[in-house]
Amino acid sequence: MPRAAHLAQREVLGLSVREHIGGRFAIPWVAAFISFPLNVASTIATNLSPESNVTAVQWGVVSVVGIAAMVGVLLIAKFTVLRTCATKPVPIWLVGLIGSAVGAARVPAMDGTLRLLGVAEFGQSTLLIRTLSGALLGFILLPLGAFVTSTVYQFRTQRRALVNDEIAWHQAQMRAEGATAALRVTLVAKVESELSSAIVELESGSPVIGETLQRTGRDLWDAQPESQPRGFRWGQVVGAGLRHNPLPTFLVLIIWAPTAAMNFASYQSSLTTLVRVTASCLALVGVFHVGRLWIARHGRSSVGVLGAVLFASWALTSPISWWLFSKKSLGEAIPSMVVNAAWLTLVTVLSGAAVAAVRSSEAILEELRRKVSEAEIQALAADEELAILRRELGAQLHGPVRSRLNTASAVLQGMSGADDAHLGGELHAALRSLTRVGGDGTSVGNLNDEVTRNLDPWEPLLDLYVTCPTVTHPQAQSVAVLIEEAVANAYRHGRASEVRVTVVSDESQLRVEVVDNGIGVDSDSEPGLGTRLLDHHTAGRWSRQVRPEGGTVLDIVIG
Amino acid sequence: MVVEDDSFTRLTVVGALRHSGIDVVADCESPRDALADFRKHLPKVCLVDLDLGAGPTGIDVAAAMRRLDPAVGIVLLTSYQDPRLLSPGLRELPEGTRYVVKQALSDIDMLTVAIESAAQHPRSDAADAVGTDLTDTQIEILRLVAAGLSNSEIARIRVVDEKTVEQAISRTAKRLKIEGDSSINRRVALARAYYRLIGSSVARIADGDVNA
Repeated sequence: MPRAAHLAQREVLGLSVREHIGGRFAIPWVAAFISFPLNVASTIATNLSPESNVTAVQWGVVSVVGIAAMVGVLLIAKFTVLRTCATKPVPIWLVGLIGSAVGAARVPAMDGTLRLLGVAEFGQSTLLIRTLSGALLGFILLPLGAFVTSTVYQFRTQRRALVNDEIAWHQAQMRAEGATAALRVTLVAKVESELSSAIVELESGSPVIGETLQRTGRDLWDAQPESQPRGFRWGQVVGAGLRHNPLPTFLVLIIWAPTAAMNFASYQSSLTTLVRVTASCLALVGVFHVGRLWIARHGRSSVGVLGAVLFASWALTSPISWWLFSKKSLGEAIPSMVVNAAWLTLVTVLSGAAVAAVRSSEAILEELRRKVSEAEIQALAADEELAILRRELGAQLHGPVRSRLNTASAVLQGMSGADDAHLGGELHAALRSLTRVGGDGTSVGNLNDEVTRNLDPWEPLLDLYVTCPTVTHPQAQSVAVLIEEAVANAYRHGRASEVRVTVVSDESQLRVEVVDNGIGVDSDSEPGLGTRLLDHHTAGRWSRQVRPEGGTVLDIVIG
Repeated sequence: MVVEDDSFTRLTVVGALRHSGIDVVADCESPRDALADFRKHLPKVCLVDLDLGAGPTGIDVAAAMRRLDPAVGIVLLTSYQDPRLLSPGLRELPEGTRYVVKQALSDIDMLTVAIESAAQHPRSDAADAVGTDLTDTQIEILRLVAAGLSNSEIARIRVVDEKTVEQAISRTAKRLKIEGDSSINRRVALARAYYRLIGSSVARIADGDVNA
């Protein structure tokens, strides 16, 4: 028991085994819906025989009713004991018990349907034994399915997080290397050329320009990035699981035992059969080991090859079970062998993935991460960067360009009485704003340009005297924002009518002095945006003093 | 005189005011042009948009105009239910400012009435109480939540601990009467409240008017 408790606590991909099984995937609907069609096929193929008067269609109906009974029990569980499992995981044994109830519901429902159709019935002992073995199988399969579904989901989430980290890293690289600035210049140039050609068209009297203008606006603002890491397939996870744990003999034998017991109980029950069941299990283990050796010798590369080996293992084991349990001829038994081999292969593959997730989750994640190539990551990073630029430009150009484009197209579509001269004026003004906002790419990082650009709109409101050297500085943009915030505060809260900004740059640092003639600051007030920005950029190296002759001096050191 | 950075709105507002018999002496989009035109024409009333893009806000421009002419009437035209939603640390509205929210305008007469009353009594407080009853902290919490920031990011920006942020979010939600319904994520509800208060169509779509 301590071992079982230890296993339940064991962490796989950030969640304990208990959280995987008893959590939001306690009912693994996806796994259930994959296995249902195979279950129907298996029922039809196994039970069909020439002596029986039950047709394939009738067996189909009967097995669908059996599945409906299972779904019914699952739904009852979902709305009762599993109601809150997503937030509060339930114990593993409870999931196992629900699995038992689900497995036990199937055979009685099938028996009832057979009686209703008036075609056959299972008989007392068969009914009892099949119900019990169904319950045993459910006890194993439901937690297993929950575990596999949950780990696959975790793989997907964590892989996405890993890939997103890489994308973010590349974006930071792009910004550091100036690739983003270049991208911005290209983007602005594109809008600029479209705007210029619109003006040329307007001056030559072309009537289609309205639509062109609207499209220019849409292209710039409304485009969404496809920033989802692509290329994830369930097959990748299953494949990775298989490569790390190709033949989970132990688990498969656990699943195999109830199935064998069910067949044994249904057909013959003698000591000879018991010996034969044991022989069948040993044969299975033997085939698995041959498969293992074969895979070890030929490398663990292809999921297809592994699947084929597994299918062959089960198909080879099937004749033994056929010989043991069935009174059919070989020809009659082939369909059931094929279907059973397929579905047992599926169970094996999923169990393999589950066991592999426990044993080597980190290695599998690493393998999945490598599936996204460096080139793809770079492309995604560039996409994401472009989208951010579009949003930024969209916000910056909202008034000066976008609105003008809308106005221009409205004028062109005859919605306003304004004339062509007005329209031409709007477009030229839009182009000027664009050039101002977009820059030519060379001014990026130039301190004087950045500061002038940010302070320009404030000039008409107060007397502003700025001294700033023409140097490039890696934090030029943030410094400009900082200075603008200081000027805005002097105007807004200091009621200043005159502000002097002096920036001095020596080799290692920037010294900024902002002097105003306002009424000073209320030192009791809550720290505002400006104070927080200052703390952030200067690591506390700033001071503010009220001058005895009136006004305030703000000293900032950066670098 | 009309100051509005969105040229489409400017075109329509100026057209409508002229149609209602108001003499619009100038219209412009930037603080620079606004003050130049103001000196030139000295209008009786100035209709100013709150959000003029980067740089000074409509309130800053209006304050500069008051400095030039203490008797000018100010009408702020905006989509923001509360000016503090635009950005923190704004200066207070000039005395007697009429605050007109675009969404509340059912017809142009409401705007002309505000302009005429501002012309007659430029400094007396004829306007209704401006804004919401949220505190400055609550307004900023609302903005940061709507910007998609996590509690820890908000805590870093506001220089407080995460627990304080969580409490501030709870109080903001309570004030906006967002609570109790576990089927709606509280952050989403706050973001929706924010967009509704700044007059964005996002909130209208979220509220079910998909044809908006």
